[in-house]
Amino acid sequence: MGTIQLLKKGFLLIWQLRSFSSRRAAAIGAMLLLLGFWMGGATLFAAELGDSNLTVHGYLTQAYANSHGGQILGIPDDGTTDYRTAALQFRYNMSSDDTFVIQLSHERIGKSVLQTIKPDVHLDWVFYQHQLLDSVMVKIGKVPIPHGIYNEVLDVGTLLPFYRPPSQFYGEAAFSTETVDGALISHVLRIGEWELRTDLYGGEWDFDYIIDGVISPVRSKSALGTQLWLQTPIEGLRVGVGGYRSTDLGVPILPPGAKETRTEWLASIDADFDHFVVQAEYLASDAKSDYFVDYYLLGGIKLFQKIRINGMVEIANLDLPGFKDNIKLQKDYAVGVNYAFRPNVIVKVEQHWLKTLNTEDPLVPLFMDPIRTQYYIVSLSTSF
Amino acid sequence: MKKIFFLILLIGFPFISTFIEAGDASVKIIVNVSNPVSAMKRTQISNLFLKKTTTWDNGHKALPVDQSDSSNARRIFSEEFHGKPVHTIVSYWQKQIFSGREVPPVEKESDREVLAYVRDNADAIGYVSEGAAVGDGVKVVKVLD
Repeated sequence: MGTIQLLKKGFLLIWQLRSFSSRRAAAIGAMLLLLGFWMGGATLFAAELGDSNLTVHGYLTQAYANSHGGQILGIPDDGTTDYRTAALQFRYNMSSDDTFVIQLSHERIGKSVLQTIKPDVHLDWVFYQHQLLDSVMVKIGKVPIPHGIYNEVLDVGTLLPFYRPPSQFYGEAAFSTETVDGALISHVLRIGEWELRTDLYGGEWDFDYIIDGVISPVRSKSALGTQLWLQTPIEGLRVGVGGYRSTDLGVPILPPGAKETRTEWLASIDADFDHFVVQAEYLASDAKSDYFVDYYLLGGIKLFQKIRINGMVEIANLDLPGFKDNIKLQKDYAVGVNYAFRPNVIVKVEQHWLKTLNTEDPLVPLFMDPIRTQYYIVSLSTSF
Repeated sequence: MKKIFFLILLIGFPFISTFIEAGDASVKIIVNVSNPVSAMKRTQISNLFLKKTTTWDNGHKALPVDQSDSSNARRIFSEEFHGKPVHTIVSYWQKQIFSGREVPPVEKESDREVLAYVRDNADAIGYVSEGAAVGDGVKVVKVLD
C-alpha cells in the first residue's frame, strides 16, 4: 500500500471517530497515518526543514482520589485509582506554513456515570493549520476552542494548579466542549509591549447534558465565538474576554424537536508571576431553559521553583425559569501543594470542601438544599 | 555536631542549589554565513526563539535551534535574552504544545551540534558558549540592547 493510500485510509478511519464509538478505528487510523507520514512525508520535505517533520508530544496524569459525604466527580467514598488523563499528540510539518495535527486522548473518571459512554481512546483534535501571515493563522477540522484560561489545556496536569481546572466553570466532562468541528482564525497584534490576540471560531459541537444521573447528548449548531487576550506590558499579566452563541438541539428539558439559543460570555484576569499567581474568571451562560453563573478566584505561591501552594474558591449558581431561581449549585473551597521534580514531572496533593447539589451518590434534587461533601486527590503528572 | 551539619546540608542542598549559579560566561548568537543579518536586538532574538516572529526580513522561515534544557548555555541564553529562567520557558512551550498552537525549536545537545545545524541550514539561528570556536560557514551576530 503506497503512501497516499495509507494516508487516505488513515484519515477516513479517523473521520469515523466523529461518532466517538469506534475505538479500533481510532487505533488503526492513527497507526496508518503515522506509517503514511513516515514513508512519504520525510522524503518530500525533510531536506527543506532539516530535522524530522514529525513531532510527538504527550501527557499523563495518574491519580488516587477519595471522597467523604457523597460521591462527586466520579470519586467514591472507598477511593479509586481509576482516575487518569493521558494524550498523544502528533504534529507533522507539511511545509514551512502548513501543519497537520492529531491528538488522541484517554480519560478515566472513576465511578462517574459519564464513564459508561467514554471510549478508551478518544479523538481530541484533528486539524489542518495554515500560517497565512506571521500574525494570522487558520485551523480547520476538529479544533481546540480558546475559551478562558484553561479550556485548551483542561487535562494537561503539568499546566494545572489542581488535578482539574474549576469543575463547574469548565464543565468537567459535561455541559461543555473542548473543541469545535469547524474553523478558527487567530490574529496577533503587537504594539510596543502590548499584545492583543484575537481568536474567532465557528462550527458545531456535541456536549453531554446530565440531569439526575441521566446523560442526554446535545448538539450545538451554528456556533460562533471569540476569545480575546490582551497581554499587558507587565510581564505575566493579561486580561481576556470571550464568548459564543449557538443553537442547541436535543436539550432534554425542552419539548422534542425544540431548539434554543444559548449565549455565553466570560471575563478573565490571569496574573502569573515568578513568585505567585492570581487568577479570576467570571462566566454567564444564558438560554431559555436556564441561566448559569460561575466565578472563581485562585491564588498560588511559588517557592524555590519547585513548590507551589494553591488555594481556590469557586461558586456556581443556576436559575431555572418557571421552576426555581438562584439555586446554589455548588461552592468549592480547595487547597493544594505541588512539588515539581522537573517542569514536566509534578506531584500534587489537594483537598476540596464542597457544598453542592452535584453529588452522584446520593443524588440531590435541585429543589433541595446543597449537601456538604469533600474529597482529596493525590496525583502525578508528566508531559513530554 | 558534624552529623547535624551534614544532615542540614543533605536536606537543604536541593534548596540551596537553586541559589547557586555556575560561573557565568555569556553566549554567542550565530547564523549561517549566507544570512545577511549582522546585528539584532535582544527582543528580536527572543521573539525568534519563542516563535512570536517566524520569518527573517527577506521572508524566509527562521529556524531557531535551542540547546537542551539542562545545558549551561541554555540557562545563560534564557536569562540574558528571554529574561526568564529555563523552567519558565519550558512551561511556556508546554502551553503552546498542548493548546495546539506551536512546538518548541529543535534542540541540540552541544555547541558542536548547534554549529553543525546552523552551518547546514541557511535560515537557522542558534547560540553557543562564548568560548566556542565557530569555524567556517557560520558567523556571529552582534547583539544590540
